[in-house]
Formats: sequence, C-alpha cells, structure tokens
Amino acid sequence: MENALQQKWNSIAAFGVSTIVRLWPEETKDWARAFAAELPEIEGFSESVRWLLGGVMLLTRERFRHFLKSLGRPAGLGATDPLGAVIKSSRRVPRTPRVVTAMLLGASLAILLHPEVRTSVRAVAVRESWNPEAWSTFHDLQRKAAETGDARLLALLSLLNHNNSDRARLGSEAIAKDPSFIWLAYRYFYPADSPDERTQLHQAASERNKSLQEWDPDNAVPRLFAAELLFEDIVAASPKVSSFHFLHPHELNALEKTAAANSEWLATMDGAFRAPQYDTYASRRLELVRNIASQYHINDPDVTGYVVAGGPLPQFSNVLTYAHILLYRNSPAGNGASDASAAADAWKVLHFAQRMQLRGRTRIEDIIAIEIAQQACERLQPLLEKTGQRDQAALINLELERSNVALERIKSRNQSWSFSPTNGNLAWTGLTIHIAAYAALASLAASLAALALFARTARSTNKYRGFFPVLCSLVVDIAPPLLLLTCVVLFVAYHPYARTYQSYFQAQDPSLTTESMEELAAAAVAPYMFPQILALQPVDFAYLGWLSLTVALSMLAVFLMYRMWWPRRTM
Amino acid sequence: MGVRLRVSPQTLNLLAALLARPAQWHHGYALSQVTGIASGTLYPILMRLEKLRWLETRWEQPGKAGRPPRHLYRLTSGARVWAREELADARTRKVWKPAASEA
Repeated sequence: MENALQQKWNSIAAFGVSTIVRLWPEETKDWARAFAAELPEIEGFSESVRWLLGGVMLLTRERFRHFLKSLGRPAGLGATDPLGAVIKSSRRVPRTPRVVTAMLLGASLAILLHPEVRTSVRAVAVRESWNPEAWSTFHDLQRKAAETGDARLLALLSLLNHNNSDRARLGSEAIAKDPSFIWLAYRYFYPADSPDERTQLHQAASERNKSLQEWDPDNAVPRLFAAELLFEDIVAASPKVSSFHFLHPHELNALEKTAAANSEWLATMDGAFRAPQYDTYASRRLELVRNIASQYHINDPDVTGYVVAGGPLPQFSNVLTYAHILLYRNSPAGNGASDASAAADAWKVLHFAQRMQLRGRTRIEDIIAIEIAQQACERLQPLLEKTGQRDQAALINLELERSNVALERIKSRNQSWSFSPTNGNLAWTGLTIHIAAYAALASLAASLAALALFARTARSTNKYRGFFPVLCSLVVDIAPPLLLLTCVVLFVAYHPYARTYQSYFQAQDPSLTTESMEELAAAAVAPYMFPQILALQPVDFAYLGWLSLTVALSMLAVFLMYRMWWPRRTM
Repeated sequence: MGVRLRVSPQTLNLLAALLARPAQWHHGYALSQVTGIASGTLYPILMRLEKLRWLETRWEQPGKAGRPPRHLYRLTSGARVWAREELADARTRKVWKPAASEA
C-alpha cells in the first residue's frame, strides 16, 4: 500500500519537475535539469515535497529574471539570439528594446484613454453622421430616461430627435412631467414629407404655440414661430420672388403685398414686434445640458454642440418681410399714409431689431437685427428731420453709424484668418485632430500587428529574411514613437477647446453672449471641422499637396536621423 | 575579481561546505543537506558563483539506468582563496559562525 502511494507520489513529483524544466527559460535550462536530476536521489515524502516547492520558487525567480532581461531586447529577438550576429546576418531586425516599446505604447494608451483624447478620436473615427440618433450618448440618454422617467432627459431627447412625431411626443411627455419645459415644443423642426403631415404638424404646432404664448406672453419668439406657420401659406400662395431681402427697398414686392393683405399674419407679427423680450431659449437649452451633465455624468460635446448650435431660430425671411412692409407700406410708393404713422412703424422695427440684437445668441441674428436696424434708421432719420425733431434725428443718425460699425466688425471678423469657419484656427485644429487621430489609430494597429507577428514567430534568425519581416521590424521600431507623437498632438490640439468647453460646465453661471455661444459651439465641434471644409468648398489641392509633402519630408527626416543615430546606441 | 558577490550567511555556509572537501565534487542535494539551505535558495547561489567563474561544474554520468545525469560542483582554486578570506573575515566580524562540525 505504502509502495503504491510512493509510486503515485514519484510520478506526481516527476511530472512536477518535468514541468519546471519545460517552463524554465531556455538560456539557463541546464540549471533546471541539474535541479531535476537530484529529485530521484531524495528519499522521504516531506524532503521531496520541499525540493519540489524550492523548484517552484526557482522557476518563478528565473521567469521573472528572464522577463526583466527580455525587456532590454528588441521585440522578436529571443534570449539565445546574439543581437549583433542577428543584425549582421539579417537585412533588418528590430532594434528598439522591448522596455522602450512597452513604455511608448503604455504612454500612448494612457493619453488615448484621456477623456479629451477619446472624445476627439471618437468624433473623427467612430461618429459616422451628424445625426444624434446614431450616437451612443443618445442611447445612453434613452436608457436613463426609461429608468428614471426624468423630465430633463425626455426634454433633451426631444431636442436631439430628428423625427417630428417622436420629437413632439418626447416634448409632450417632458412637459406633462414638468410644465416649465413648455419652451421645448414650440416648433417642429424638419420639413413634412407629405401635405397631410404638414397639415397635422401645423395644427399641432399652433396648439403648442398657443400654450407657449400664454406661458411666455412677453416673448417675441413664440409669436414669430406662430406667424411663420401662416407665412408658409402666404409664400405658397404668392408668385415666386427672387429674394426676400431689400433688393427693392422702396416698394413692396409681390410676396410682401400678399402678406400685407393677410390680417391674421399682420396681427401676429405686430404682437411679435411689440413684445418686450426676445428669447430663443438658448440659455435654457444649455442649462438643460449642464443639469444632465452634473446629475447623470453624461457630457458629450457633440450633444452640447448639437443642442446649443442647432436650436431653432426665427425664420428670417418672415421677419424681413414684415419689417419691409412696416417700413415701406407708408412710403410714397406705398399707400400714402401720414409721416407720423410711418415714423411709428419705423420705431417699431428699430426697437424690435434692438431687442433681437441684444438678446439674440447667434451671429446670424446679429446680422439680421443690424440690417433691419439700418433700414429702420435710414427710413426714420428723414422723417424725424422733416417733422423738426432734430435731436431725435441726430440720435438715429448715431444709431445708424453704430449699426454700420457693428456690421463692419462682424464682416471683418468673419474674413479674418482666426475666425473664418473654413480656414481659421478651428479648421486647422480640426485638420490636425483628423490627421493625428488617423495616424494614431494606424500606428496603434500597425504596432500591435507587428508585435503579434514577432510574438508568434519561432525564435530563429531565419525569420528576419524576406520582405514582410523586414517591414514588420521597421514598423516595430517606428510605429510606437509615431503613436506617442500623434497622441501628444491629439491632446495638445484639442486640449484648449476641451478646456473652453469644460469651463461652461464648471462655471456657476456661464456667460451667454453671441460670442460665448459661438465659442462653446466651436469648442464642441472642433474635431468635425475638417470634413465640413471638404463638404463646404472644393478640395484645396495645393494646400493638401503642401501638407502631404511636409508630412512625407518630416517622416523621411525622422527615418534618416533614426538610421544615423539608433544603430550606434544599440551595437 | 571585478564583481562582488553579496555574501549572505547562506552563501558563507555553502562556501564552508564546499571548502570542507575542496577537491571533491558535490551534488546539489548533498550540499542542501549539509548546509540546511533549501533548494529555492541554494541554486540561485550556485548559479551566481558559477556565473562569476568561482564554481566549477560538470555532469556526472548516472550510476543507475533510467536516472538523469547529475550536476556536480566544486570551487575553483582561485575561489578557494577568496572563500577562505571571506569566511575568516565573517568570523572576525562575528557575522557568521561555522557549524559545530567545522569549528
């Protein structure tokens, strides 16, 4: 019985030492054999167990030492390959020590995992469309909304939804839970697919607008939206006109004449122009995003950019048409009413323009408001002169000058290199982020593929023969530093925009001027700018050619420096 | 010799055991038994001594069939001088005491 047990243990111990020998690093395997050869000489169960446990400790120690040593060797070179001999006998072998490669990859991954860098890479590489319903954040919001039923989540989903009926339904659900969200559902966003849908949308929008006007009676914007529904019918019934703008400043065009005959539209627009406030609810939209970010930690710059920059604005053709009617319906070319009545109309237009300029949150609102104000001043100034109100006329003249200067400033800002949306700083950042993101992903994939290939190949010098191993050895040396470089570029390029973006979420009460809203939207959409350039204008081949040449020459310079410097370090 | 060996009490015990019969070849298990050093500690010391070329090694052909060849160890002549100096020094500094049989 004892012999049977002894035999059993002997076979277990033999298996144990053979496993130790098998797992022992090749370069010191003789010591494993030396250790194993002693076991058959050991008598007694406890003694052999102790010997075996010592062997496990030895194996662990040797494996660890082997690992540390391997860090100093380039990828693909085994412990038994003398580096110098391999380099001499091969066309090319990797020369970067594993520890350097590991550190480069580790540092790159740490940067890639940084939230700012993840955002920019995701924007470039993962996001396929500017449709929020395809975004993962949208689905996260949907899940949270289903779990919590939070009105704020429903409200945000409503703003992000592209489907008119879903948008309206989500808005209604949010309003039912929290009536203060009534500002959500005042307008449908997307054109109706059919006349029936259009009728339904008009009806629903009219009802929602009535509620909104009751809730926010002093605001011009809901009234403008209500008037737009009527204006659509006016446009449909009018003969085609080339432009709504002031191409014929002193007389009404056919559309304006048709509109001027529509008393319901006139009354609604009159209410809008007389309303003491102008608010497109931009600050409420941003506050909604901020609230959700702080409560649910869902803070996606794309969502913010979409909601803040993509909010509904009044239809400016509607506004311009009414302003033109007011300014010129009493002109000599109009119906010939009194100067006092014409002046009252012009004052009304000017005051509306001033409110719009003061409370508008977008550049286009600024421009439209200034243009209307200029027209109103030009109309008002001679009327005031004519009626002897010289002081008032001088003030209006000053207002006209102020408007001209404001418009000039906007124009020069848009033309300047820094602010131009197509070739300014933002576009350069977007371009840099795109190039760096694609280069980072390509370098990461190439590094991992080359390392995987070397990990799989047998340890023999023959493996370095042929084109593919030579290519892989180049990739193992070049791709990790390139990956780190591109990760750093990604971080540095997007960081200022990310900080700007975060400042709107960290501030207690962020400033909401036209400039700050533009800044926030720009910070949120920075990674998207390059495709927008391509979409908006023909590809600038000279520019892309110069860029490609610069990149190619830089890579060549890096390669030549590497060839000159690196072998001396390793040989 | 350029490279210093960290002379621990276990190393001193091993050197003493190897110096006891300096010309004779020793088996690993026998050294472990004489010095009381466990295999997990003994072999790293042997490996270091061998790397410093203070230890001669050779393979012994197995006496019994089916047994693997065993590894044998002894100090090189240069290492014997060094080992005696180290043991004397350790004894003087009272950091190491020889086993009763050696004393």
